[in-house]
Amino acid sequence: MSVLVPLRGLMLKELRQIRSDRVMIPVLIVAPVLQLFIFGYAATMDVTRARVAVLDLDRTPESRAVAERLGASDSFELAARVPTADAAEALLERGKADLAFIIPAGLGQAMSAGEPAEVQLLVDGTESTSASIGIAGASTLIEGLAAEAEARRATEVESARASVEVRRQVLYNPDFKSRFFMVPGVLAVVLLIVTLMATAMAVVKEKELGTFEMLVVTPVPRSILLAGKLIPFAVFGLLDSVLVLLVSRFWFEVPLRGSALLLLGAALPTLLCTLGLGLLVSTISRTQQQAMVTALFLVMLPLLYFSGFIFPIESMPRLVQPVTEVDALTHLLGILRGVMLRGAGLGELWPSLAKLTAIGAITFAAAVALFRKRLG
Amino acid sequence: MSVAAVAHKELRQLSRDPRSLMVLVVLPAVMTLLFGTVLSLDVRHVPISVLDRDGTASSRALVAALTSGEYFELAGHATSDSELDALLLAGKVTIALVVPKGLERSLVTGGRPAVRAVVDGSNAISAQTALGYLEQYVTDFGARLDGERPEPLLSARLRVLFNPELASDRFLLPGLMAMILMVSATIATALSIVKERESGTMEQLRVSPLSAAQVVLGKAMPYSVVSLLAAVLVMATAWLAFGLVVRGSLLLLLLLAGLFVVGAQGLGLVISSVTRSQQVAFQLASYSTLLPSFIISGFVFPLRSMPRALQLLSAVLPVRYFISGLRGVVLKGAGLAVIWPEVAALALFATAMLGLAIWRLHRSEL
Repeated sequence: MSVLVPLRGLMLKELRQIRSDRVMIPVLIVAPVLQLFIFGYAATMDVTRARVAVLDLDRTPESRAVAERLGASDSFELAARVPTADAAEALLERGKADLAFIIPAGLGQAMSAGEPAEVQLLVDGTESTSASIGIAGASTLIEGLAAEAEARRATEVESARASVEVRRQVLYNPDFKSRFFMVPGVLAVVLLIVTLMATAMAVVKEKELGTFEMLVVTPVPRSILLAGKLIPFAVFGLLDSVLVLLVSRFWFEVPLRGSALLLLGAALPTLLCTLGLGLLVSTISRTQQQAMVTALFLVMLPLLYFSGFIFPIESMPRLVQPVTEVDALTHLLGILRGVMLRGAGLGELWPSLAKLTAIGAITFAAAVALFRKRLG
Repeated sequence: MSVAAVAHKELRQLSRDPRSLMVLVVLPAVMTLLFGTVLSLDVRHVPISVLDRDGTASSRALVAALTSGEYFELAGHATSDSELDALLLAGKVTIALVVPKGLERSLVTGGRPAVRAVVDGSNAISAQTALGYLEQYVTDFGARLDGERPEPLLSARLRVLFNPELASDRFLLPGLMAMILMVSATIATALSIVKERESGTMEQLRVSPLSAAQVVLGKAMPYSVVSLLAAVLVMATAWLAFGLVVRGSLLLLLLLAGLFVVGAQGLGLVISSVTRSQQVAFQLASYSTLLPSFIISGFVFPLRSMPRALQLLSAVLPVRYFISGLRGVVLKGAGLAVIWPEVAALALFATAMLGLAIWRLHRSEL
């Protein structure tokens, strides 16, 4: 009991400090939700129609069929008809078109004579992902036209050709919405910013103002001091997570197929880790400026980049991949996406949860040890 | 003249703190090096599991064909459907391939057997691309069995411009560079002003006979030079470490970077004029630069896929124009004739931010 009284006092003091800071409340509550909205709407790689420029040097029914097919397709948008190949390239250079079909003179004649003909396809490769998808769409379109032309010419039923088909069955996200993949990531980012950044700043601020000295000389045990400082931010972190989860579930309709309890179970060791890191940053920084730069550049950005938040871990160089294993966010994201999208349970996710717990415990213990050493 | 005096003072202050100077100049390049290594959206080494119910030479050849390239990686053979489901649920594999019994027999007798691909769609883009590769591999496998197939009547001859290998890191690197520079430049100025205010030296500047414009320009100039130096270092890193060759004019690149950096300094000044403490200045600076420069700048997510409101919002962000200008000059070798809209937008932003900062200081709110 005697321990809880000062703890309560310290937490109240922290909350009062947060409340007196005019900007703390917006940063702690409004910003996470705003972030989720921007992310939810902007973080989409869902492919829009590729803009196509057409150069028709043939002007036969066959060549016009290509342009008509392009206009009718769901994957393309006829952006321009150009008079020369140079004009087509210029459009690609300006970024006004994504690809260009150049139909050579004599295409129609060749095709009606049953000779193979070629369409030239120019692609702007800068945006590699949409370029690949555009190329695949264009190939399908041309294969379709070729098959139709062959079918028209075929006088007898061809013998069946050997082929293997693929029957696809897409689980968990049948419409391939990239939002489903991104939104759980926002939850992780919010936890990170609110707890790590806010803790680091709050402790260093007190150091700068000199009020930390006063706290240290009070008869309150160090551990209670620390708990009083960290718990309010942990609570804010959890509240924000719940808020973000509710918005993602009911506004963005991202599924929550698994157990919310498991999510909470993953949030706790993550909090240990982020609070520990925040404490670590504040211990090694003398000024708020140093704490900010350290927290942002040396802690938060690396955690994000190496977690597979956006850039998939499989695509990273082999040498870098082990690094992702010590990143707490990697495991948190694994659990968030597993529970929310696939409905995975503890049976599947326990390795991630175990690693996350280990990373959290080690980080927190190390941070507290260093903090005490510096104080003493 | 007095602009030079303020700039001189600022430079001396900076040089007295070599650690901060190092951080401002070198850290962006180090970040580029560090994050450049993981910067890829290419679909590679997708883990697949196979349930081969046929167990013939043909089915084994099909699996071997799939895993011969670098796209797919065999995470193991499964023995039952439920084992595949468990692997998918645990997120151990992205695609589970089921080869039906009788595949070989069907192929020999001229049938059209189908394999079943069960895909974890949660990572939409990777899953979609991987499925596309898989279908291509399987179709090619079938075509190879067919031997002499006549050339199709119509085919496409592909020429990919600007990024022939379709490597996503070519496209992402300019965005990463812009993001790092934007964040570090804005934070640096915002902090320098707030620091001055907190240590009380801002008062001294204000009572000096300098005009607001002289103070603002004098403050922005040295930091712009430092940030420009950082920008050059970042580009050199991208070239040396990741082989990002600049196709266009280096001078044009420098002009883009210069305008961008001045704009970022201006933004930093404006932010510090509306906030009172370092913590708040920082939070504002990082929210207003980091998040937009990551999400609605076209760095990773294509602008054209976004809702109109966000596209409009991104139109007021300098980082958007910097990224598209960088991509133009670096990847496409575009000249001023092509990227003048980007240059104009950056110049406009820089002027507006400096003007706003001068106005705020004039009303002694800086």
